[in-house]
Amino acid sequence: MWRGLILICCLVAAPMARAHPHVFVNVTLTLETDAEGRVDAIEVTWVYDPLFTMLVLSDRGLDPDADLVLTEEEKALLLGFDLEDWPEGFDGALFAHDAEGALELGPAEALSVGMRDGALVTRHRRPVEALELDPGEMLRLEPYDPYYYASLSLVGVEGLPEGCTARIVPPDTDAADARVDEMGNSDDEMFFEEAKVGVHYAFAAEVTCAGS
Amino acid sequence: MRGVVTALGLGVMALAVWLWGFGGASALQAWALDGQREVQQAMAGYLQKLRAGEAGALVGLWGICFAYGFFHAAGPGHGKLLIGGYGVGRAVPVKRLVGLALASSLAQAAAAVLLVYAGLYALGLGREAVTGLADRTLAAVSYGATALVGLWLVLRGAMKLWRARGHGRGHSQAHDHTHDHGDGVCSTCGHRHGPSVEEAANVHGWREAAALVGAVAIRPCTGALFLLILTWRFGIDLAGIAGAFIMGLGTASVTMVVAVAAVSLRTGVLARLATGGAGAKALPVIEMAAGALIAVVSLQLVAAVL
Repeated sequence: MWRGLILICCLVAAPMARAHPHVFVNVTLTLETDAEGRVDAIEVTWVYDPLFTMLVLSDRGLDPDADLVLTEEEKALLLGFDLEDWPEGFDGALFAHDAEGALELGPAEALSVGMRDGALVTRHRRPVEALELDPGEMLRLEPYDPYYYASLSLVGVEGLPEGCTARIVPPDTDAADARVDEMGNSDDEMFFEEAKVGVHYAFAAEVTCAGS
Repeated sequence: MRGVVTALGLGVMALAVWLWGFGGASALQAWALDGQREVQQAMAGYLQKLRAGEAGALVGLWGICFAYGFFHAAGPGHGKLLIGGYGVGRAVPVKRLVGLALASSLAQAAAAVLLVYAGLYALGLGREAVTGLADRTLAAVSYGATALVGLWLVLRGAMKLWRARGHGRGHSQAHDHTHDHGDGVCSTCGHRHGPSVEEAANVHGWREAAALVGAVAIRPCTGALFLLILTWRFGIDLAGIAGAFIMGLGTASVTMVVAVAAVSLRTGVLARLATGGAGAKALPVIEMAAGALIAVVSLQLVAAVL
């Protein structure tokens, strides 16, 4: 009987520890390299889902003719709208690691705003300290919203230096669910800190280079 | 009859084993997430058509609203926790719990309409202020209220256990006489406090029903807010308001199943216990366990949003 009870408890409780996202974003990362082939910036393209696009446009009274095309003035007005007021820990929803640890990403610089198939597309650049990708070393890029309000899917990695390849690793949702369940079921104080579940549902790009 | 109920209960347990033992939950979660993404995209498409004056898009929008509510409820949600936990913990007639599940989903839709029109129209707030209010403040209040319902179940279970152990006779309460239980569950155990008609009647209290519905409804669904904000701005208010309630029906389609599952599980377990004579003792314990579960999970949720 107790097993049955525990099971029903799990049935009801386990999904509770998970949040659900309300914004869906497709992400493309483009590496920028300097004259010596070192990575010195990461360009981020966010393609918002059409519903959130409508919200953002109507918030500002843009596209009143509903043709889902933005004028140059409207684009100028929107430029950088998604780079303001980041909540603490959001950090531009991009996290990078190399063999030595987390890379510091510089402040975001807005590049462009546009529309594609009814979806708002924004681009911005995050500078990094010139980074040489040594053979055998891995650069790991993870675009995700720690709060999981937005679900980010990594759809492409471009601008790879010569000899480098990128592997896109989708989130291992089984492992992620198990981890979130563990958090929910332990009386560990850390649960409250770790309640930001987004990292467990993150896509990753693993960039490796063969060397010249 | 009892065989059917037990079979239902075992069916739910098998589902639980599959869900949690064999990764079914992740599959469900992934399916719900993909579903939500697609539905959200389709909703934008229909809104765009309505905005362009295609009246036929209205039916499409409402159909998508139902699907949104369904996928939303198939994911995580405090409504299922409360309805499911309550149904396992307390003797509540299945029809009544199903009705409460429906009522709480519709009340949640009403809360969304109220919040959007009070916030945007009356107070002139922006979209982020309104959704922020729902995602943080109202979410915390709702989870807090859910936790209180859980604690209430724990308290009730504890009091019953206390009385069943022979305490509290001095209060000369109505419970202090032997019932002739017609449901057969407690006829062999000789205890006075079995799962009885009297216990079932307790839940008829409208206060508990209101608490259940209120705790769920206080926190409106963010998707409904998105829809209502857009339809208000596009001047198609009624399409959005009806859509929000249809979304509620979609959510209810899941929580009502949870209600039936919870009640059948409880009935099935009790029917099996009856032969062992442990039913009467187990009842308050089940109630306390269900209450504690609701309280613990809700308090974690409160902490997570604060």
